[in-house]
Amino acid sequence: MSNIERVSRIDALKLNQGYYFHSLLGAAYEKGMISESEIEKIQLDCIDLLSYKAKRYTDNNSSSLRVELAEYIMTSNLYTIGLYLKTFPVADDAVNALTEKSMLDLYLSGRKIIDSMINSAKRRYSLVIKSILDNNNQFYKPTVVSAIRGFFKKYNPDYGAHENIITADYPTCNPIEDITGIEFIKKYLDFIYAENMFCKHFFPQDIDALLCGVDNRYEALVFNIFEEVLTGAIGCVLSGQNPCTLNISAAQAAALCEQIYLKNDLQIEKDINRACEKLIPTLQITSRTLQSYIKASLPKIISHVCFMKKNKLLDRVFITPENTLKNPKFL
Amino acid sequence: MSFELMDFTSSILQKQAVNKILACNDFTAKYQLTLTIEQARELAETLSTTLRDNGRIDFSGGVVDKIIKNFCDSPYLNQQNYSETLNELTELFYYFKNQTLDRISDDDLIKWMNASFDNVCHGSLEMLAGTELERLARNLRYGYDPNYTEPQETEEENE
Repeated sequence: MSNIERVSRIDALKLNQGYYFHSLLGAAYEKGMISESEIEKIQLDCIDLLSYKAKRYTDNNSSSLRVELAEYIMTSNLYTIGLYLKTFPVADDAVNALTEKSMLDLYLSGRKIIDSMINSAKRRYSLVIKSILDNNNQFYKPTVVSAIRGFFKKYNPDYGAHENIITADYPTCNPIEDITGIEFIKKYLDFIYAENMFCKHFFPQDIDALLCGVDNRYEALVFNIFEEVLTGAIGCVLSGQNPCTLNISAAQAAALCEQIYLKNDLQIEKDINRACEKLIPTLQITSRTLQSYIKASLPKIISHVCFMKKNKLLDRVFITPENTLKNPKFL
Repeated sequence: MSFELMDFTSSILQKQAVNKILACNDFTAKYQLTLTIEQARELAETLSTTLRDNGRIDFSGGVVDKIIKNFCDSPYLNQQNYSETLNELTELFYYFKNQTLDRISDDDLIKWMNASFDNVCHGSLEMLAGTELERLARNLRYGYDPNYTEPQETEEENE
């Protein structure tokens, strides 16, 4: 009996994660789980919450706010409530919470979640700093180290909980979509940490050589280091080389490309998945989280390989490292 | 499902405001100043329109009751000009709330308006708006003391 899952009338996966509150309320109304009068009551309660927050914002010195500011605080409030509503494993229960509890109660529960997420993100940030890659890409460290530090300084969970604050110029391999605020930063740090931990299995000079092979001026490019390293390592496995050095010769790379040109997309997908299955034990990656992250990154790599094959550009995917040793500290 | 914040708060505000304005009659009666229901509705409408025109939202029925209680002992108010003056003061209040970049509290702005109206302006709303409140707004925007007065115009021109 313990395996029986409750069926939810609302499919939580179809809800907009960025505007969860609105999305849930809309879905509940569509399914007839909530009446118009209940929605009006919720709206009034939201205005009361906004009024409460506005008083605190102005230190009780002003009974009015500029519309833009009021909307901004309202967005923050609904984002915070949305975070709490997301914690319900069954979305229908979140709808019940909306109708049974006051918006202030829901907000305060969400606010506790934000505090806990901030602490968790800070802990993750310290791990990211410890695992930072020795790499001169102009977007990597400035985003991962400096910008994130700036986020923690400037983030205002009381009135701007939904704000990203930073632009996170350095991209993660797996895109982070729909979410904002601390939720985004937490996930961004989780992803960067996983990517760092993977790249830590290689020497910085090997990564540098591979990236120089990708582009001699890679320092100025906006791209994801992990993605190139994972692709390089998979290329090594597919060529029968040791992936630890990320090194395949020009001849080996050319031979690999020739092989791939003969395959269809399904075969390429199978080959890359199989190569990944070999790569993980070869690099002695035991962390389940990291294993999952690597596997989650494969569809993007597979799709890139198939796209480049179609356009006869595979020589730009599997790269021969260029040992120019541009970075004097590797000399 | 969307929150049109301004529309939503506006309807709530008007209901609250009329009741708050009428409740002030008990306080102002001793100054021989009262508002009829019609005048209270008109004032609430002015409040709502002014907030909209100035891009502001109010959550507590507005500051009209505070304006009434501060101004009701003014020697320049009488039953004939009472309603019209309150409408204009309400418009001025929210306009200058924006012009002062919210750097002054509701209570302080009303007290400033009241003191200027009764003293240097001698009950002139034109002077209150055109001179005193303009000066206050400029001082607050530049981070000066609210009472700061620019040097003589001739000196300014020479500079």
